[in-house]
Amino acid sequence: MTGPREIPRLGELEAEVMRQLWRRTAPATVREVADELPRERPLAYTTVMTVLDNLHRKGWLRRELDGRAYRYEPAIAEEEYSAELMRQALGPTTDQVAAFTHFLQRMSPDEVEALLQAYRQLAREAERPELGPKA
Amino acid sequence: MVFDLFYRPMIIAALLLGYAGLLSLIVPMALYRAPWVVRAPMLAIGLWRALSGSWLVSLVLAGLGMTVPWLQYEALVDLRRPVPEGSVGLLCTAVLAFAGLGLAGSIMVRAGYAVRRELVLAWRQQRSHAAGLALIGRTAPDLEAVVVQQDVPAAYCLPNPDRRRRIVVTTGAMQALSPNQLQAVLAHERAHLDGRHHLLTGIADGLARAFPGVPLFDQARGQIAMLVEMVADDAASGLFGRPATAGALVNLARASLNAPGLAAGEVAVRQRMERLLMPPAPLTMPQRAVGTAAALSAFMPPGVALSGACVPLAMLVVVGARLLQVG
Repeated sequence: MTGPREIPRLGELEAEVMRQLWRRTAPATVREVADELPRERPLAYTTVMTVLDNLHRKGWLRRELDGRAYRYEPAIAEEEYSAELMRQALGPTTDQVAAFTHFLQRMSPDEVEALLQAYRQLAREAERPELGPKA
Repeated sequence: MVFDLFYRPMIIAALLLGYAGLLSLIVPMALYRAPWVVRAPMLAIGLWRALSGSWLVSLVLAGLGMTVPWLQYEALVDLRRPVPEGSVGLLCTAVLAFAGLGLAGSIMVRAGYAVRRELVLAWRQQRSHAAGLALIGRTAPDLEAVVVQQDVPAAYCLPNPDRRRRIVVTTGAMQALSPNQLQAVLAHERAHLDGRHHLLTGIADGLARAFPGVPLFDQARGQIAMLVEMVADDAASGLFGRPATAGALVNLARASLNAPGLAAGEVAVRQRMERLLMPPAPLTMPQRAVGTAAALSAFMPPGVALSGACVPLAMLVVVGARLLQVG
């Protein structure tokens, strides 16, 4: 059912782990990730291990064997994922369904130029006192 | 008697069909880009919706009306009354009834299916997007919006994917706007959410997709998309002033030149900007009353047809009772 443009979704815990790994500057082990998770939800080591394994399976993470433990790091840069998300919001949607209401639709450079010209002219005219509201 | 039972329902059905034809072609031409439209966008939206609804109701009623002669036959047989002299043959009425049910049914199914599909597809995309936002967006409580770290300028709203409405704005957009202009943009988006405009545009899109040959729905879709923007512009201007809203339009347009170009959507920016910089006088109360009356009067023909169908409807009840083996 997933189309080519559908952004994969993560569960809440997976999202938290992903955000943490993006914050990090070096690959981390399961233990390191588990320790960094917020204290108000103490989780079993095996739970965190499962989450990291799932993320790796889904392609979100890369891992390297370091001694006897894996070290995980993001396979997709945060910037790249973020850009893809914006492309989904801005680009032509699947089936032409308008899911997002933008303040300003995308315009071609010619359209922008025409708009700026019209704006300059109107702004000048608006300052003239005899031109009140159009009847 | 013959006229009442057989010919009148058919005449009413024919009149309704003619009315629907008028609605689909002539009336939209008068409404399309009429000068008063930008002075009362909400009223114009109401008119487009009234016309669309009236078209659907008229066609469904016409179809149902076509079944009445056959029902009359059945009722007469059931009541053991003689069939009057000079009435139309049974086979003829049965064919008409079949066609009428087909018409009424297909209109309802097509409209219902298309609108539902439109809304469901949009909702799915919004839900998926919201999950992605949860991952990379930062909520800015003072702005009541989600900020995304991206150079491409964008400001949009996500209606209701999981009962939490979101307004999204990129850092690229924030950099292009003054604080007042940014507030105007957020107020504009909030107006979309408060007014549930995604339902208005979604239904209009769905009907246009369901009935592609009917100019009424195609024009309604384009006009409603533009008019909801104007309604939101008014809301933003009411709070932060028209210059701020117009300035936001221009600055965001300018900023989008630097970002890589993507497919252009429907653009009514010129009209929006002109309306903001040279605000047209709002409609007077009498003018509004006329407009509202016009919207309500769109439903008059089908309403009259329905009332004219009272006698045959009574017959319908009799036949229905027999079918259900009651009495």
